[in-house]
Amino acid sequence: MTPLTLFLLFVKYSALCFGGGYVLIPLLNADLVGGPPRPLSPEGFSRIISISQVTPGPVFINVATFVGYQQAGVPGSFGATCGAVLLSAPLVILAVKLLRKYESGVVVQGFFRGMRPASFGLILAAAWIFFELSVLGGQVPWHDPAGTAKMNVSFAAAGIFAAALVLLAKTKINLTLLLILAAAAGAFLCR
Amino acid sequence: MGVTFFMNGENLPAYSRLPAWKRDVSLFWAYFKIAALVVGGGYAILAAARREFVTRKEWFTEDEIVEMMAVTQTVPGIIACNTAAYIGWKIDGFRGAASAVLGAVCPSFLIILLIASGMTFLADFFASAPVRGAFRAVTAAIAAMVAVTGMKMRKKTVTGPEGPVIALVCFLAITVLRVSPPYMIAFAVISGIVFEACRRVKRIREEKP
Repeated sequence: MTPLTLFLLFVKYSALCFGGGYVLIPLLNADLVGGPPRPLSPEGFSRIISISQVTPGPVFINVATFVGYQQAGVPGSFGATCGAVLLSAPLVILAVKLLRKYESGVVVQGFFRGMRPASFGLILAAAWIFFELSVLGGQVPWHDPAGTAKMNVSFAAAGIFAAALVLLAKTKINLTLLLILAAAAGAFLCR
Repeated sequence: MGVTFFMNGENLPAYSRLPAWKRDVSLFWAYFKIAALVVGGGYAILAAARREFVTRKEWFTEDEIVEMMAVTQTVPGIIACNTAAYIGWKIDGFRGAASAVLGAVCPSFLIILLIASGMTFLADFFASAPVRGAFRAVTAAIAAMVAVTGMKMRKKTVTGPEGPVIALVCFLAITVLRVSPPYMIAFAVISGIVFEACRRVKRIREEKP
């Protein structure tokens, strides 16, 4: 694939990707993974996903950069990443402008009426998933739909969770500092 | 219950005193730090951004963050980049949006590029036991941060008689039934519009006895 193809491909994926990067994985799996002429082997793809999940930053960007590099080197990874982020700003700005324009309309009022409480439910669900991943040692739910993966509880991670909860709720602690402290403690304590 | 869209004239936000280039650098750097340290993608980065821009810098109000969450989750694309675009755009228009998105993208782009271009020792580094332990601890701290963010937004988000029901259904569908988030977003938007339409029909009926 050329950098331009990769760019267009990732523009398409980002336009189809509702609700975060994890939705990308089944999309890519259906499009790019398999025997020739598809560009990625199943093993190669699962390696890309596992590296993307243990490195920081948005999973979607990690996957775009990796797939782009494998297909067309540095220009490919640049093309794929630019494609992945191209629509973010225009779509968000367009959405905010439309919401302002029809502020009192039934669709906009209804949209906020539904999405405000849903944001609360979704963000607490995200917190629970991070808790499962770290303290209980589980899997992201849509990778393990049956919920059968073996859990491996870490009491050190539970302690770090509790300490972070108190610090974040009661103080204005610098987040960077908190995460660096957690990482340092985890390197020794969480196995 | 309306959402405030415009800045209050007498109460200009703290960043308006800064020149544009300083705002851009500040946005880029704030997002660069967040994206370099936060594992777990969209929601974690969203919560980190709220902490940085509301709690610490006081550049945004809770109302704007509530609007941001509703919009950035509904628009397709990477949640992390959508929130960066929203925050950057409010602070310094297109240039601000570009600075924040660039900051959110750079760390992962550079790390993955190094790994993919043959520095496999970096992949081994991220897979080693101490680094995995460090990431596990960081994820635990992020779970706490996302939970605190959620609870702080409860009063602004869960409103009206149907609010707690929608919130609870979304939470349980994802954590217990393991439904993928986009379905719950569609459910919330549709039921919100239905409730709002019913409320308006009822009000019109009451006005015409």
